[in-house]
Amino acid sequence: MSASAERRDPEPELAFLEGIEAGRTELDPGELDDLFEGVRGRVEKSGARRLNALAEQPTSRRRLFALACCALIVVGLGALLPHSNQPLPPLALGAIFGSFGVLLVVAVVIAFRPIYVPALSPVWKIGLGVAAVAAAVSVALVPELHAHLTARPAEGAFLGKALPCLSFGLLAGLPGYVFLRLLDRGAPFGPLLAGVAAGLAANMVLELRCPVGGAEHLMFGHAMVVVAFVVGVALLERLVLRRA
Amino acid sequence: MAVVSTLALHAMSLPRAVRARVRSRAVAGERSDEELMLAYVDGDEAAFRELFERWAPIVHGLTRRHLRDEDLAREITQQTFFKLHGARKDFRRDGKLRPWLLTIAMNLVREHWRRGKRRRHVELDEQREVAPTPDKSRLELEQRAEMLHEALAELPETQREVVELHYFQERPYKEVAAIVGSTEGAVRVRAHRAYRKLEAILQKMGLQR
Repeated sequence: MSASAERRDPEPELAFLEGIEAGRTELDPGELDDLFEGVRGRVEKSGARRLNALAEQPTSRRRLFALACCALIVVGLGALLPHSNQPLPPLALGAIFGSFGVLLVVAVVIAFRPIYVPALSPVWKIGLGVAAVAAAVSVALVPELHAHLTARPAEGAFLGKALPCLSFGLLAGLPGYVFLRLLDRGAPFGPLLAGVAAGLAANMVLELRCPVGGAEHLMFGHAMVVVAFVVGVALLERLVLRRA
Repeated sequence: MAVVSTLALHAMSLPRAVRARVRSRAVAGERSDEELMLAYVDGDEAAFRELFERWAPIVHGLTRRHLRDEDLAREITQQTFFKLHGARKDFRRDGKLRPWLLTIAMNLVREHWRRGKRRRHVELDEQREVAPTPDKSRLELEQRAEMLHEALAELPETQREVVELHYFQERPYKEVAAIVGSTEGAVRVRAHRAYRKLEAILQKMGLQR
């Protein structure tokens, strides 16, 4: 800090700004009571909702719950339920689960960033959504990652080829999305970040379960799940909440 | 610097209401903010009320200066305490409440701006309705205050919040940096630039000796 800058330190020159307070109202006891009643009303309303107990958990626990939920979905639906897919080769496993896993963890950490620390720029959150979509699309478009998949989608209508995986993916991710929203304390971009985590978890399930290859199927049956969660579900919730 | 020196001279006779409000509470026997917060976490509802009485006027003053909208300031004051309630289980025994509260309030203010809500200028008449009848010197002071309010409003958000916290809330630079999520050096630079810009705006407005 230069000497000039120190000299220009707001003390005492900005002391005149205290004049802003002159003649202005203070909160009198009655107003303070009204304000407090408003806060108490909100607290009571939120306390009446049993599920709100999840959002009131300490942040570390909320993050742990969210990650555990996503892991449960991936392991439970993707690995433990019987399926006909071959095990993923190490390269594919590392690339897909490495990139998706990192993005998922970052999404959960940011989604449950407590409000008493300075807020991150929205660019981070929107960027994470874009990165999740880009990762899902990239994985679908790299044939080497799916070289082990020999099955091809059944002949038929375009949508019919992708619909089973798309539906399964959406259903697989939905419980995760709902659970993450229940853990949320109303953070900005909460729906978007929950969508990122749920979409990536659902996509990982599809990568583990689905024996069908082909760029078209992977794009519209798998990657579209992430797009649907990141853009669709988050937008839908926003619209519904706005109307309510 | 002539303008600023004049301002400093005027400042000598001004009430120190803002500072008095944020002055630390050293009254014997009074529980600290942190003790109250911990008591509230343990279920003491009265402690929350006490915290509210202690901090709501400060949060309200901070948000009102920032938003220049009385209703909005009250709403954000309420939201701040509601968010504090929601996050209470995160409060650590070695934590400090003041940065928590101010950060929550500032985050809510930023969120308000992000959502594209535009600043609504509160009419001077409206303010006078609720203000005590001013004498002549007080009116002059109010007019000057209004000019300063406008000058403050012209500062970029990042500079204004630093002035709000450092000057009005008397937070040291280190704490301001923690609240706005920046480094102490960057905050000092912002304050310095804010001051220079305020000086220029006030000169342009004709606030002279």
